[in-house]
Amino acid sequence: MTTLTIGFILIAVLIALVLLGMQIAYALFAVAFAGIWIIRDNLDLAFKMLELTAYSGIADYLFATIPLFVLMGLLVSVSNVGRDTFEVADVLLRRMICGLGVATVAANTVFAAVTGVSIASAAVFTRVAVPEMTRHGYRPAFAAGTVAGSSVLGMLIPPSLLLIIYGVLAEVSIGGMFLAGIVPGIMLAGGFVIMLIGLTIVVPGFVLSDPEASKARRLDLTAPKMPLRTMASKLFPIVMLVFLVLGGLYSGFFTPTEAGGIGAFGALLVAIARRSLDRHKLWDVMKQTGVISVSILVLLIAASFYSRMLSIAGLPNAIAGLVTDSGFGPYGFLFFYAVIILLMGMILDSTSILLIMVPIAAPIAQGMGIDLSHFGIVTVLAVEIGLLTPPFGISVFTVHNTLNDPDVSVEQIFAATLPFIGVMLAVLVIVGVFPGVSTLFL
Amino acid sequence: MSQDSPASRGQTNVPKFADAPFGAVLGTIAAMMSSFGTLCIGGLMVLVVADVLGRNFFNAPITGVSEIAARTVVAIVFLQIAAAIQQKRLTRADFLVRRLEKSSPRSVYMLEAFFALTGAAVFLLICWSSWPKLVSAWQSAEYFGVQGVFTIPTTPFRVITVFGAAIAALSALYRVLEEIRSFRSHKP
Repeated sequence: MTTLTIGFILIAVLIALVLLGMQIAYALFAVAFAGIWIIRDNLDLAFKMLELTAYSGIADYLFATIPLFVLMGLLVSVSNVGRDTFEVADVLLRRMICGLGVATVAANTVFAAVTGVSIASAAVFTRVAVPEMTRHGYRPAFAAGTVAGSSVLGMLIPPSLLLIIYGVLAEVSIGGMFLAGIVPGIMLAGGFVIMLIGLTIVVPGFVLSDPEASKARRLDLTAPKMPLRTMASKLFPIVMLVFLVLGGLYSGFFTPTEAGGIGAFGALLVAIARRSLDRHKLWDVMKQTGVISVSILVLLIAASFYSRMLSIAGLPNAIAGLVTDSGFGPYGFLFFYAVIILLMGMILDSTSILLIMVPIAAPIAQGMGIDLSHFGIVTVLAVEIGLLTPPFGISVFTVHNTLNDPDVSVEQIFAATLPFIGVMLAVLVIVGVFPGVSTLFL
Repeated sequence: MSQDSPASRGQTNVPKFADAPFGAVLGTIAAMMSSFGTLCIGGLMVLVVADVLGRNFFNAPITGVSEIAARTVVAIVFLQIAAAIQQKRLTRADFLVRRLEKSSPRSVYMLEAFFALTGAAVFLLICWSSWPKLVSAWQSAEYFGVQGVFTIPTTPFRVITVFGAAIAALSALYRVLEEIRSFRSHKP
C-alpha cells in the first residue's frame, strides 16, 4: 500500500469514529498516532511528535487569545449589556416594519463586536428579545428562530473564536482574519434585516400571530420615549469595549492576545460597575471560561498532531494534485468544499469541522491561488450555517433550552430559521464569487 | 464541548469517598487542579493588562510576557483536562449515541467504554512520551527566556504536562470501569 492509500484509510477511520460518537480529540490523537507509526514504520517518531505537539505545539502566545476572548464574552453576557443594547435598538427602530425583529438583529450585531461566542449571544437574546417579541404579537417560534438566526453573527463579526481558530490552523494573521470578517458580517446583518422586513410584508402569517398588536405598537405615538441621556448611558459600556478591542487591534496598538486581555478586563470592570457580579458569580464565570477554552484548546492540540500526520502522508499535496488534474478550477473547488462543510455541519460542531477540514484544504486552496483570508471567511460562513441546520443545529438547541417553553418545539424553531439560512447561503455565494468582499481592508 | 455547545453551570460530580474511594480521590485531585487552572486564566488576564498598562503609561514593560503567556496556555490545558474528562465535557457528535440510548442502552455502554479506553491510551501515550523531557529538564535545570534578562525554569510546566496527562489517563480509565459497571448492572 502506498502512503497515500494509508492516509485515505486513516481519514475514513477518523470519520467513522467521529460519527460513532467518539470524543473528537481522542479520535484525532489516536488516528494520527497510528498513522505516523504505520506510515513511517517508526514508533519512536510517533512518540517524539506527540511530545512535541503536546508541549511546544500549544505553547504559543496566540493560543492565549482563546481563554481571554471566552472570558470577555461570558463577562459581557452576565453584565446585562445585551439587554441594554436591545432596549435602545428597540426604541430607535420602533416605527419600522418588524421593528422588534430588526432590533434583535441590530443588537446582536453590536453585541457580536464584543463577544466571539455564538452561544453567548443566543442565550442572552433568548431571555431578552423573545418574551418582548411574543408579547407584541410575534409568533413565538419565529421570535426564537430570529434569535437563533442572528446569533451566528457572533462568529463572523470580530472578535470571533472561529476566526481565531481558522487563523491558527491556516497560519494566517488573526488580525487580518478579523478585518476580513467585517464586510461579510455587515452584509449578513443587512441581509437579515431586508429578509425580515420582506417576510413581514409578504407572508405576515409566518412572522406574526397577531398582526394588529404589532401594527398598533408601531403606530402608537404615545409610547414612552427614552431620554437621550439614558440611551447614552446604556450604550456607553459596549461602545467603549468595541472601541478598546477593535480599535486597539486595527490601529496595531494591541496584539490579538493583548486585545483579548484588555477586553476581558474592560468587561470585568463593566460587570463590577453594573453590580451584576458577586464573588460566586465571578468564580462561576471563570470556571465556565476554563471548561469552554480547554475543550477548544485540547481539540487544537489534537488537530495540530493530526495535520502533522497528514503532511507526513503527503495528503494535502496529493489531493491538491487530484483537484488540479480534475480541472475544477478554484471556483469548482470552493463549491465542493463548501458543500462538504455544509454536510458536515449537519452532524458536527463548528470547531471540529474546522479542525478536520482546514489542515487538508488550506494548502490546496493556497496552491490554487485562493487568498487564505478569503478562503477562511467562506469556511466560517459555511460552518456557521451548520449551527442552524438539523439535526445538530446547536444555536437552535441553545435557544430552545433557554426558552424552555413547551409550546415551541425544536422543529418549529428549525423551520423559523430557514429564511436566515437562505440569507447566509446568498452571502456565502457572494463572498465565494467576489473575493474582494473579504479582502477589502487587507 | 466547544464554544457553541450549551454551557451548563459547573456542577461537580465527585462521588462520596465511602461509595467509590478511587473515584472520590481522583475527582478531588481533578477539581483542585481545575481550580488552579481557572486561577491561571485570571492570572493570564492580569499579566497581559499589567504589561499593556506598564508599557504605555509607566514606561515599564514586563519582559517575557509572551513567553510566559504561551507556557501558561499549556498549564491551563493540562490542569483542566482531567476534570473535563470526568464531567464528560469533551466535544463529540452524540447524535448516534443519543438515538441508541433509548433502543439499546447496553450497546451505548460498550461504545462509551471503548471510547474512554481510547482516551486513556491517548493520555497514557502523552504522559509516556513527555516523561523523558521532564527528567532532562530537571537534570539540566532547563529554563526559557533570555539569559541575563529573565529566566524561568521549565520544570514546573513539564511537571504539569506529565502529571495532568497521567491524571487524565486515570480519569478516562475510571470512566471505562464505570461504563462496564453500568453495562453489567443493566439487564438486557
